[in-house]
Amino acid sequence: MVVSNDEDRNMIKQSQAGDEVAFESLVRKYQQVVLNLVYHFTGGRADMTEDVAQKVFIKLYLSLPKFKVNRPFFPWLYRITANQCYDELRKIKRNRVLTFTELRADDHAAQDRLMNMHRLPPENGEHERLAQLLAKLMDTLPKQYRTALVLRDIEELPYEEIGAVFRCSVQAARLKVFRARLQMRRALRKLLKPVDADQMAECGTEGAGEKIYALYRG
Amino acid sequence: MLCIEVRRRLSCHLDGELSSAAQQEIFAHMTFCTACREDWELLRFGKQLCQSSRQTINPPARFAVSVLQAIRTQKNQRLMLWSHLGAMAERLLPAFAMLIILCLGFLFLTGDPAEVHRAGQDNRDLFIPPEEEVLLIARQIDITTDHVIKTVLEGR
Ligand SMILES: [Zn+2]
Repeated sequence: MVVSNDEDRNMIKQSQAGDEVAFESLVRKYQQVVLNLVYHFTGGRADMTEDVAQKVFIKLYLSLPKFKVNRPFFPWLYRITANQCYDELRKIKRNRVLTFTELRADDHAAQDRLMNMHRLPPENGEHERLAQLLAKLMDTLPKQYRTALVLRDIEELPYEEIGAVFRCSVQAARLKVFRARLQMRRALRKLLKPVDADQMAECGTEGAGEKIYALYRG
Repeated sequence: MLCIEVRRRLSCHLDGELSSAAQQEIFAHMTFCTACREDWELLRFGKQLCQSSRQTINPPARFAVSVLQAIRTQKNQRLMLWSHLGAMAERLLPAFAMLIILCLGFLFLTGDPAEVHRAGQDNRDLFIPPEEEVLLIARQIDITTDHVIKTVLEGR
């Protein structure tokens, strides 16, 4: 987690005054954070990460005049990033539906283009398969639960910072993460066929995810 | 410990925030309760899935530069849009002026709206109730009121 400090405040003030060099420094400081967040919020869609991250910084630049410098910067950046990612995911979903419904049965070239857009890499390792499983599960969660899980279980933010992103108390942030985990568990149970809890427990902690997944797949 | 208490604490357990005594209690419960154990394993699997998907994306060397270029392009596009709108407004100004003149002319020709309203009221005064109309027609063709009443209203 990058903490906002005087250096940030100066960069933001200067950017607000139209100093492009200051804004470039701000981008350089937070580019890694935003790229990682975008990758995680979009469910590991590497092909769109850079594009979406760029849009996040453009939105940030355009909304800088509204930002109050005495407020913490990172929760605001996280909110802009999350919203941009969900906008992009919604666009993808809408485009996919439109393309399928508008597709003519005899338009083979368009069908091929569409299939290639969503085709998985030919040789998926176990890691990719797990990443896809997670993306699928995340897609079933409401936005705020998805955000809560990304912030807590992927980005490993402390609950205080999750509260700052959601603009709620630490206790409310805990509750959100708790509910998000329950929803995730429900989705997992629905998706995978039941496996004996003893077998699951035998998987231990080291690489248990892969082992349990293997058990589920039978 | 009851199942409900165990399940309420599983999220904290996942965060490693429980005291060792509480952890012991939970483990003791899960040795005989398969339902809670399955819940726990699924929660743990969910978290492991999240952790295993964690990636560090290294920013491309020219990322910041390309962001600034994109911002400049957007700014230019906005300026272009405004100048286009300005030019369009300038071109449409005579047509707009003509339209206003036409509207004013139309209002002038149709007269004072208050007068039109009064005329509407006058028209309402011209309305004749049907029974009076019957009598008027009867008078025109020289039939007495009694005759009308007898023939029309009493059906003779
Ligand atoms: Zn139980």
